[in-house]
Amino acid sequence: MKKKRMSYARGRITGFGQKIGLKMKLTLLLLLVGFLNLMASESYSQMAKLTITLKDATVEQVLSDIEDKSDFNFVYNRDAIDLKRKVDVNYTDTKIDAILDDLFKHTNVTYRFIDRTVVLSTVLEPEFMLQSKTVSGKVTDSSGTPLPGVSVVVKGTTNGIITDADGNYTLTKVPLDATLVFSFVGMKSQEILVENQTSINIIMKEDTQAVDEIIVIGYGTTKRKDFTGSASSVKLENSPVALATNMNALETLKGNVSGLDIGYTNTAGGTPSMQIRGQNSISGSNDPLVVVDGTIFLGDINDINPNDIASVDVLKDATSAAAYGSRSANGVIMITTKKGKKGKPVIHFNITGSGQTWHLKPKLMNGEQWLDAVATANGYPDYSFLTSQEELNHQAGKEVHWLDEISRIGLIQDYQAAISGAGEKMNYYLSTAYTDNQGVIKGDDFDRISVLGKISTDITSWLQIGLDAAYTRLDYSGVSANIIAATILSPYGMMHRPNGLLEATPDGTRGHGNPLWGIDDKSKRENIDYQDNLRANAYALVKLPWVPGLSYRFNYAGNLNYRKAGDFTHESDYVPNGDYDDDSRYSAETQNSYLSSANGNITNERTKSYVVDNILNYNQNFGKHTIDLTAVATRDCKKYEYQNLSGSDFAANGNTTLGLNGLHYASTQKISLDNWKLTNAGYFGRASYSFDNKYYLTASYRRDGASVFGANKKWGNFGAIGAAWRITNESFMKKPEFLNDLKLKLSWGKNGNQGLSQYSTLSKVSNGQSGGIYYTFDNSGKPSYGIDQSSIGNSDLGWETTRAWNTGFESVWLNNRLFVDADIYFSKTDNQIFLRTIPVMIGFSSMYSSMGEVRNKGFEATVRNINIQNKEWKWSTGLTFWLNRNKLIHLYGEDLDGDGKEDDDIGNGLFIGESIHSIYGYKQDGIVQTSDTKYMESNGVSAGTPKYADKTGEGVIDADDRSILGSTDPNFKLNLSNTVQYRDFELYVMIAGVFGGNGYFQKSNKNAYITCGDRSQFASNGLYIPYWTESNPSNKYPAATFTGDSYFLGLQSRGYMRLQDITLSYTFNQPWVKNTGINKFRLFITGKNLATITNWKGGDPESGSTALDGTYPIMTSISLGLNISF
Amino acid sequence: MLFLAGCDDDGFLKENPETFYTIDNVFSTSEQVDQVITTCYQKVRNIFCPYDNSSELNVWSYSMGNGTDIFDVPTIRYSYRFNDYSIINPENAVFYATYSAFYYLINSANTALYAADKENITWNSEKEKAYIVAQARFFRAFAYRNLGELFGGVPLVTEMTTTPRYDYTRSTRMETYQFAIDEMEAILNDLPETTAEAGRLVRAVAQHNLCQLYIDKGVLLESEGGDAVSAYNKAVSYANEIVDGGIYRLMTDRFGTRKDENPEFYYASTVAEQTADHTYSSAGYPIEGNVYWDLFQVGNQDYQSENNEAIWCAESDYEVYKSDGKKVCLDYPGIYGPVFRDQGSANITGTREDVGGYGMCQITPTAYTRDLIYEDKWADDMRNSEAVFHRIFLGNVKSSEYYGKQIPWDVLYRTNGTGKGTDAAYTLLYPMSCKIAPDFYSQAADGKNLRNIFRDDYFIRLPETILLRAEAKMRLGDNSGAASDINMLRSRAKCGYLVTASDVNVDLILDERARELIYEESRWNTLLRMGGTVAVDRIKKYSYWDYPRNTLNTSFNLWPIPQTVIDTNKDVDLEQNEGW
Repeated sequence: MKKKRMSYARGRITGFGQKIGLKMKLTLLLLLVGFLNLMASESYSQMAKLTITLKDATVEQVLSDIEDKSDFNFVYNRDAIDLKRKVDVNYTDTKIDAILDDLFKHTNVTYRFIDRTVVLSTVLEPEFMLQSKTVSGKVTDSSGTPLPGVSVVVKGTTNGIITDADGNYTLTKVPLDATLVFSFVGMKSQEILVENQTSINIIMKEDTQAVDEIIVIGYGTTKRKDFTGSASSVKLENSPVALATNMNALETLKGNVSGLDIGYTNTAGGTPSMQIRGQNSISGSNDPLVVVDGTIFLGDINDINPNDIASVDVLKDATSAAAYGSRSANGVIMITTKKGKKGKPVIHFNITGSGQTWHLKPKLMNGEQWLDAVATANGYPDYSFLTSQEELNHQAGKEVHWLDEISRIGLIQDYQAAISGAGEKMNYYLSTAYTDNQGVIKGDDFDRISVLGKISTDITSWLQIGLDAAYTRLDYSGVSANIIAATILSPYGMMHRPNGLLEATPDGTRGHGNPLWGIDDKSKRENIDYQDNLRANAYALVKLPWVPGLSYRFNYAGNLNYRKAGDFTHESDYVPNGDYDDDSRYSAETQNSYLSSANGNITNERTKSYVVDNILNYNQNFGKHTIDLTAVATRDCKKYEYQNLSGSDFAANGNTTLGLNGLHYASTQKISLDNWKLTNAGYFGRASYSFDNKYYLTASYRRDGASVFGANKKWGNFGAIGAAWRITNESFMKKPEFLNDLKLKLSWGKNGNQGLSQYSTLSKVSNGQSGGIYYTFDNSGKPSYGIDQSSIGNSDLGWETTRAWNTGFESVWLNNRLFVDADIYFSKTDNQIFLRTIPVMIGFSSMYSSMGEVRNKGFEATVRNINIQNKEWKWSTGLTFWLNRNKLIHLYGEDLDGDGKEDDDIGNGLFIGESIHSIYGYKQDGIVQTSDTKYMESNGVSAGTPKYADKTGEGVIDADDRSILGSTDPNFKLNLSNTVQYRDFELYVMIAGVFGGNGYFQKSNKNAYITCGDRSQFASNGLYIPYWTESNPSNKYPAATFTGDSYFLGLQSRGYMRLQDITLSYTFNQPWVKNTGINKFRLFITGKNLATITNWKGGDPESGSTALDGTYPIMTSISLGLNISF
Repeated sequence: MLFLAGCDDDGFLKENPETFYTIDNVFSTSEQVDQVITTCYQKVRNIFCPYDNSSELNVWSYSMGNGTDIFDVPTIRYSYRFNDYSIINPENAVFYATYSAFYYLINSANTALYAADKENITWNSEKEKAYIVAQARFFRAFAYRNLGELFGGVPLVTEMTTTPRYDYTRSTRMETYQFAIDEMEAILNDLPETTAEAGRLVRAVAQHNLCQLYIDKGVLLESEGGDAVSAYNKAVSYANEIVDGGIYRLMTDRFGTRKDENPEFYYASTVAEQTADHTYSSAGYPIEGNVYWDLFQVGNQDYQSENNEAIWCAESDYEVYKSDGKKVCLDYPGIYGPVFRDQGSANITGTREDVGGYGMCQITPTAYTRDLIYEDKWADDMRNSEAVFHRIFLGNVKSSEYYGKQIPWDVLYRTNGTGKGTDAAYTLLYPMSCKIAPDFYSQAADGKNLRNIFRDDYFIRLPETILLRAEAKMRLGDNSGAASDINMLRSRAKCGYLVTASDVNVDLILDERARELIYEESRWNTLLRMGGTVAVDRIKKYSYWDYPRNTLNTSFNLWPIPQTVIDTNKDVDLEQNEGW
């Protein structure tokens, strides 16, 4: 057989041809067509017109020139086609088929189009006519090292093989029209049309976040290479990132996207906060807008099963977010869910089991330390404050570690099954999942059932329709342990009564409750909290047949959420304070006396929302010019209805046997209702233009109206413009070996934020029973209800407007091994809405108000390097870095003190030229020592109290000594991830760091300095404090008797570094796996939040919790799981 | 475009609240204007009878005078101390909470006046409108009297504010008083002399306030130069209208719901042990009831229930407490009750009636309050009787040698060899007034802990008017007139000693107020309105802890303007009071 060489290896067709396989590009094109139906690619071959003038050129040069000037790629057999033939060509605005007809006029070469790929073949090639054949070849990585273990499969069949130790393969019975799929962990899968080839050598490429991916933008998609804005993408499907135990879709993004801050999750089923590029809004939500499969998502992020997510694109700058106008100043998170892939249906199972522990559990004082601390702090000469039962335990040396008692090893079980597939006309994805989470704190339970079905089908060549439907049930029911009680209680408290049952008040007559009281005990407390969510998205895509490239899309997304929550406290929940061995406290008689205190309430919440989009798109290529036009009219509406039914006092009824379902037997019954509606309407237009794969321009405009604003401020206009320049495509940039690609970009845009919740511009009134104001005249036994204005409205409140510049570059270096992206942005937000402290003489202490101008500037960089890549090993390192600086520029524009500078607003802690998160107060300068006599005398303080810096030098500490002490903003964030692959093993490690320094990232942590904490409870436990004494003076910790003063802050840095994720997986590629019909079989073990380095004391630096504030803990998780698909 | 053609965007975006009212649509009937007045009553009640110890401790410190000569904090409540001037500064939350509370009241009063003026309101009668307007103006003037006494001259806000201002200016203290005087005098005739509805304002309430305001004005005129005498004379004449007007008189005979009963306690730390053989009487310690004790029994406070010395009361109601919540209870046992179960637990423990219920001792009486004012010749006084000021505590711990017997105070105080008590014991254990801790709790049958009482509480009781008149007479130089006024109270209290003209001075007035009005008066107002160094001197002299003696090295007779108020009023610099 004649040996044939294919031209793929040199298939430099566009600027990106080198980085990805030709067929990959094809696949992406197909994806575009199949997924998004916005690109009228079939028409490209009919529409594209080329201008080519070459003299005495070879056929090969002509083909190459066409490739350079268009999106066409040629696929051909070098040996069959005479490439060296010299020709003269001179075409002006000529269609491709005319050129090709002319070029091969007197040869046996024929051509056909597969999208933008032109397959050239000769009639002499006999293999072309055969039904099947044998194909062999060698697979190497980009360094030329043979790759063993690569799977080579005839697409849509089970016919496949694995490359041998030298990377060679031979596959028989390959149909002529077959496509071979080459796949390997960590590499991009490649699909190659077999056509007339019998030998196919493949260079596998890194599966990096390369520049040639498709990204989802507002009301459409684009190729990353054409994109002028700043966006980060995270592919979750088949990524090690997705293996980590994340209960929530957002958690998977944590640390993977520069500029995106994902908060912590500390409860079972909790939702973390999210923020892009710093805080834009002071009082409004800083949450980015979430868009799922192209439509604004108005539901709860917890309703999205993380396993159903294929990829996430984070739109960070103004141009990318501009499509969403009034709601995009905080950025946009675009979630794309999985869908079927062409070929045989895939059945996928994912099973994970995890254990969780309390990360950074505070170490509270032991018995001895507690005794000393309480006595010293409260001026007791002895331990006479011990209650009788504490005294018993003290004598017996029995201590209870309450934090240990309320916590447990948390457990997560996660099961998912999905079936997906696609045919020529139809695509489907069905998934169901069940998650059960028992949190680290006893009683903190959550489970979720979700079902998702997606189907799309081409009805005709011009009409495609799709429907997704999802149902989720969340269950948060149950009473959790009381963390605050556990931190307050004395180590000598009594857990159980003599009969072995739980004691209600472990510290006896001091009366603090047992933190475990009522947990899993429905005779005392009932708690339910269910949410049912049903959502359906439907779309129709019409490719208007009379204008190629023009399409219309209609989206409807409906969301219905129903929540029922209830809580019931039975009479047996109440126990009088007293000694633990006094059984009368628990007698039936005592319990019945509490019937009048028994109470419960049921909340019904119904949220109904819809989004309607009408999208008109026109996309066309004209030679080197590509135009994409989009017009959108959209509306959305969210309606909320709340009902609360409460009942108390069951004395007349006689028992509470029916519990929550017997509220209507209560003597006092109340109803409270709250309804609201939020509406938005928007009109949007966008034009994108690119020329010759070098120059890209995008401009957009949106007019948006929102119900939340004052009557005259409802509408806003937003716009953006962006440009990019692929400098490496310029002929003058003779591509240097070390630089593979470089794109420069610049954008400007104006976006809005709805910094208000509904009805905030109104002066609301509290009245009637639900208003809570009542007085009882005349001992009538009946309340008279009062009317009180509860807020002062401001009808001038409108959009918060953010104008932002973004500039940056995306680049690929060193033979596609080093990827460097960087962005710098400058944004200014006008008319920030915030809750302003106002002179209380008005009758209100605060009101929503807008203020001048806040600027954010920042720098973001993502660096990824492939350190090692050879036959067996692969190691890559990624680094994300971001910092944001916030500065207040203008406030109210007043200079009343006449110093020529705009005035600060000290009352609201806002200072011109400083961060809006500045910490203002008295600078602490150690502790007053016995030798500081002058300081003590002039300030009337005693030794052992905090000492403050005397800024004015007057000797007396007063309001003039206040200064800006720092900021609560982080200095910068740095995340480091490493992925190491060895044969079938893959290890992923992510270290996340948030850094302070220079005054950044500080927070008050009084509980780390004051003995027994903030002293709101007598004899409270707390962190052990090596407090100041005369004989053992400290310059850090005040005396035990110090209870705080209005100056003391106890600032501490929250900076930390955390080993956030470790994932180790093993993929079984042994023959028996294939033989049993398993497509993929992978076992993995993951760890989350395994270790933290920080100086923050008593809590978690990420949540900023302190020892006594009762914040739920962040958890360390270890998971074991398996993926299997058929 | 499809599906949106012809849609009305503005209609789609209009906000139309369905489940609540706004200030623009709430008022349509006179009943609703009266509901704003109800809010004023509730706000006054919240200031002087706070109902919640956790969220309102700042107001607690103000309302009865924590940190003055009469109250301090126990060891276990160091963090609530309000007499350590190393930490008390204009940023202290007590000042801001108190200052704000009065302006919230002013705003409600102004809102009522705004609503009363609305044209769409139909009134049942002119009289109805006049009474509503009079109440609103009273509450506003009342707030300014308090602000003037505590903070001096403050911005006078006389209209409901719809847009914020940042340029308030301080009036003088005199202007603040004068505004209150003018307003009170203007509405006197619109207030009824008596009302059938207990708790509502009557004319004597304004007259009493006018009496106090004219004394305040006189004290100020004395220091600033002016005709103080005619101010004091006005004060006396307003007091005369109440004291001699025929409507009010001191109660001298047993009366009311328990007039045939005596106080009774069980020495028992559990309900089960509260049996007949555990009563104080059976142990040989019977307590005899008296008329002063009757004044503080549930159901006896209102003028409508034949208490002729009740001028104005805060209303409490257990049924409303059960149906609507805490705002109608008195948390006095909790806040002011001793904690025997801690320092006394070897002999006496529990949270039953005999130890004052479930006391948490947030605030403790000073030695002055519990002992000094009853020393020697002052001891024989109904207000110091066992029924009123309970000093005999029987051991209720079976293993105690004092079980069923009186525990000596040096045992309770855990006195050492030198006769000095332990700080913790001294500050947590003290004689217990019937005003804060009864022998009977209405909620006990419902299993609730004994930390609240459901008794109406006096805002103004005739003896305070009498003491104001005595003070005005003293300031006029009429010491014998002052003495005879004071002796009206002492005679009613069957005191062994009646004062003479030569006894009369500011200290006597303050001592007698402490004896008569402890747990009733707002001591901070009393001390600060005296002017001079009275407040500072007495705080230093009588505080239990040494804090003020060590740290109070400046002098003040006004609280500071809260720093937040100065900081937020950015357009005009509000001057800070002297000494801060």
